[in-house]
Amino acid sequence: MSLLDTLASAPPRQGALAPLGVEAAATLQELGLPMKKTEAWRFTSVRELVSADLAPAPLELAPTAAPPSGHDVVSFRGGHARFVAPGATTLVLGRLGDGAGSEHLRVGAAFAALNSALFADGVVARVTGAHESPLFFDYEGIAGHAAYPRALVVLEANAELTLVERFRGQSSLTSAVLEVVLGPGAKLTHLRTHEDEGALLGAVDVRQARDSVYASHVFSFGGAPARLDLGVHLEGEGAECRLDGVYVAAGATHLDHHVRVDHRAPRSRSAMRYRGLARERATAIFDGQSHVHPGAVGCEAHQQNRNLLVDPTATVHTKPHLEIHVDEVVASHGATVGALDEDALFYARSRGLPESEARALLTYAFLKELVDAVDGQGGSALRAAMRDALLSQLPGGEALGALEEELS
Amino acid sequence: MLSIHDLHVSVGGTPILKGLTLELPAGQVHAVMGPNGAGKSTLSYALGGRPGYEVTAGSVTLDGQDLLAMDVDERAAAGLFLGFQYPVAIPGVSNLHFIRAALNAQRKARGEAELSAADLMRRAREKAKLVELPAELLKRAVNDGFSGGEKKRNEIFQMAMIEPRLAILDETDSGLDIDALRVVAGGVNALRGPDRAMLVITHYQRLLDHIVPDVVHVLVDGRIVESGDKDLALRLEREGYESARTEAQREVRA
Repeated sequence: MSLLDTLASAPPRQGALAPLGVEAAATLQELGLPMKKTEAWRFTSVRELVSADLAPAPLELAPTAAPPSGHDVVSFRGGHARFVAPGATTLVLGRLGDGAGSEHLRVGAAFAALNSALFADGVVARVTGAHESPLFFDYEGIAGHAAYPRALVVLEANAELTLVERFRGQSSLTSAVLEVVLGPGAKLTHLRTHEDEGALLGAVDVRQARDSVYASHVFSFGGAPARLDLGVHLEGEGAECRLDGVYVAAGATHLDHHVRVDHRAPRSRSAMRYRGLARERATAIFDGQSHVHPGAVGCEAHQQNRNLLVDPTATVHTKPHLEIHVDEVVASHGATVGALDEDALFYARSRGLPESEARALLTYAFLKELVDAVDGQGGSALRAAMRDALLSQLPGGEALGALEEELS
Repeated sequence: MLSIHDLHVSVGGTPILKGLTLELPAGQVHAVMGPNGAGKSTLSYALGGRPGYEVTAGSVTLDGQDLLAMDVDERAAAGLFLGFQYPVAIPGVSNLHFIRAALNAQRKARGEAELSAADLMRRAREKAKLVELPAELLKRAVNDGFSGGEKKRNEIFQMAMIEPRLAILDETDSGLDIDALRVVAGGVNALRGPDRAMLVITHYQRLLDHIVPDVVHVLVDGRIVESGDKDLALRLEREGYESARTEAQREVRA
């Protein structure tokens, strides 16, 4: 079924979500879905995805098993969510269809708009105070159906949360949208792992009030393609975001990260650090944009993208970009694509490491620096999990992991 | 233990070592001194097997084995340790993790069992004390954010952990103040022994006040032009390398 047919045959939404659906359908009818000639999608072809059946997976594909108790987990399957009410009073989970938080929802662009038009229901998480344990969003991608998971996370003033999103499975097409609203002084640590081996198109949109802190840690290991559009809006004075990303692209994997920060308030700070490696015939893309808008004086905006290109058949595209409309700003950007440092390689080999082991160790070290930066509630367990996930992606990873065991 | 015979090495097509011959028996410490550009670092890198250092003639054996036929890591497993003039930082790998990887790799290559974590830790704490390396530096990333002195102490720490047959210390004294120099030299002296040989490469005599060599060799323009006891180093300090250089030229003419 084509895009327009799919939109026409979608059941009309009722209640608070109805206006969003109407607006999204209108946007799509006017602009359509992106094509190769769309600049932002130049390196990621979606032609096959767009020509596939875009109809949302039926409700029967929703998760059948209840999420494990003892943790706050929302399970998504086929775009449908299942969860149990949290035990602590600091976290409330609800349905977007019930109207809670719908005023925060935005249509978005491209596949995010498609999600806005077609998601059946979504989840809203509302946090007051410091929530002690991580909140997990587990997404299982399924073959044969399109899925449109939708979530909204709202942190009230001074609230704190660690959110862990995990994408797994084999999606034919998943277009996932997460919106985050951070109140004054709120602090969100956000881990997101892309291990779905199918087609995952994700949008994360973050709006930050005064003195809020958003720490994002993206780990992309799978996807054909996996695309992330991460947009952060620093709307309140002193708001800060730290956006780290690690990617390992191998085989037919195609990983595309588009990260954008808009500084709209004085003394707001942003730092992007994306690092990855591409080997075999894989492709990795980093597109970073930092915009400092008029009036946003005293800002800091930093971008760094470093890539290891392991095989001549692999491809890396990197495009850091700063746009600054005020005078008083501290900004930097840089991108590198290259091989391992020859001096470090010789140093490690001179200590007795065979070349392949030395390369594996240095590659791991290069990426692990960003694993070590993971913080927040349950940080050490999350770092260990991310470390293991990273090691599982690297040649010789098992031996490297064993070296770190028991050394403390 | 180490026999270097008529060694010629080129870097980027330019000959640097031009027929270097040197015998280093087990149990001895030899110093190689020479002016800038004489080929001191080239000697250490060539022995270590650094890519880009092309041996065009000559031979090097370690305990009778052909060192030049070995890969870099095989040389380490055979007992060679190279102390770097500029130790390299490796962010993301802790010092302990790194030395464990190195020891395991060497032991595996020699067909020995791996060190247990407990043994490794015990040894690391003991050897760190030897060179006054603060324990927290063991958990920090290799040389990352270390001061010049800490990096050099870390080199000697690694040497103490590895317990090599042959250590080549390339300008270990460069960039050290007198206190750091004493600590580093103390670590080196503690490792002297009848089964171990050391080649200490230096520009200045002052290191040799602390690490007293059995033999001093003077390296000028890619060749050993003079060898003697520790007093030769004092004479060079007094008279400079000019006299040695003149002798070398005389020799060439003759």
